[in-house]
Amino acid sequence: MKLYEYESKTIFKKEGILIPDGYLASSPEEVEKIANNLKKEVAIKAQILATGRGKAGGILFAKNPKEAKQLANKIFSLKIKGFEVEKVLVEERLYPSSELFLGITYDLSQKKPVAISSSLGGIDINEISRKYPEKIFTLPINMAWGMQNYQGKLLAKNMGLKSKIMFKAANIAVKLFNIFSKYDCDLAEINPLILTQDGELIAADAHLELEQEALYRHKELEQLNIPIRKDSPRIPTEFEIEAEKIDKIDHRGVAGRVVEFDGDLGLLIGGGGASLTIFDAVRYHGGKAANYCEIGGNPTVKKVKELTKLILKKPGIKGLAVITNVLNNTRVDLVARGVILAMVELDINPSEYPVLFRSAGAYEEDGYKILRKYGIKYLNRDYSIDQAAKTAVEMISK
Amino acid sequence: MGMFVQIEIDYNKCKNVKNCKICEDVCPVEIFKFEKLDNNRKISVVEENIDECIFCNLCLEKCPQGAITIKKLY
Repeated sequence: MKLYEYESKTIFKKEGILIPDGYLASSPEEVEKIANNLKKEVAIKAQILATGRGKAGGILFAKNPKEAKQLANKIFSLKIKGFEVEKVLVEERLYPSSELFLGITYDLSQKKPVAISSSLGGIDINEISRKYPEKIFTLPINMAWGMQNYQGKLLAKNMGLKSKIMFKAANIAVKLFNIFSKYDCDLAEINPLILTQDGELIAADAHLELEQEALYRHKELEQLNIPIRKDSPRIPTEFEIEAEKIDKIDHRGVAGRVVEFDGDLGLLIGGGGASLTIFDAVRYHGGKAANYCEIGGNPTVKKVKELTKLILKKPGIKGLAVITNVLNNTRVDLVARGVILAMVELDINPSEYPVLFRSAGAYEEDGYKILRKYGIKYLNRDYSIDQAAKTAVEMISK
Repeated sequence: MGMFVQIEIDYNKCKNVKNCKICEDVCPVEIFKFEKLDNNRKISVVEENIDECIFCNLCLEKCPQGAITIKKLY
């Protein structure tokens, strides 16, 4: 789960990492009020769950409260990488003597955390590694021992720091690792870590990503006003939101994980990881999917029915393909019942509508009997997923 | 009656037992509903759930009166 900058900073503050003085605002008026109270030049920073906001105009600096309000108006009207700006962080403006980078993530090849430091902060770490690979220092950390002080100092030294400031940076590195470990992070990053002209090290930005599967262990997040949520690479469409509601009707089986596309072939697909293969096969044969949607684990008839109705009601749909791998945990007859019930409820004649089944496994004979009774074309296990995808694409091309 | 499954209760047999609701207890897909009406009891079939029947046959096996019949409609 990605955290907003202000949420990450709440954790930083709690764990003793210095952050700029600042507050969250939801309107330009609030920004003006905060700037007035801070009595300093301020930075106004859009709070979105995506990187690259600086280049998109999501971070602006104001000299006085009036200008802060004007600039906030601009930021609130932005849409950055599909995200509307609903909140901004208003902070005292920092004047750095240098900007540094400090981060911790997992190295999957070494199977352990790795700490990264650089004297080049303020720009994307990927860009630093591309242009100045010699400026990046990495250090594997043993999870059982945690980050030792000497490791913190190594990281600080490789940021180009010396004497007292090096000790301060080492202290921050150890604290950052403790946050990484304590909150089950996948990523903990300070970019830039600012060295001020009076020798303080302040986390100007904060980026934490928490492991989704470990969130249940972190009840303390609620006390910190950090709501637990599900990450999405983009804002879900109404169709996807509706599908998620259907999947939650009942705990039994999956009939969801829906992604909307703009094609004309509705898909109900699944089977031990076969969904992506099926989706690719449809594309390979020139088909345009209207959706990606997994079914598996024996969903109830009602769930299959509601999901089928949702897909069939989508504008521009020309046909439906129900294609699964050979399954022993999802009954063919129950899926067939759900699909047919949906068609009947939508006043669609199953024998006339372009729908193709390629399902095999548990209760397949019952399933085929049902499909035959309602005049629905089906392919049995003698036909591959690829052949089924091709047949489905041809079916709606006629 | 569902589109795919027909489930019937023979109430002449069902009425012979007091407070029995074993069919409701064993059905994994909530097809039977037990209601207590004053001194009477009533077991009914939930129409909207009939097509969820997975033919586990637990109701047939457990009904002490053999009052339930299930039929595939295909």
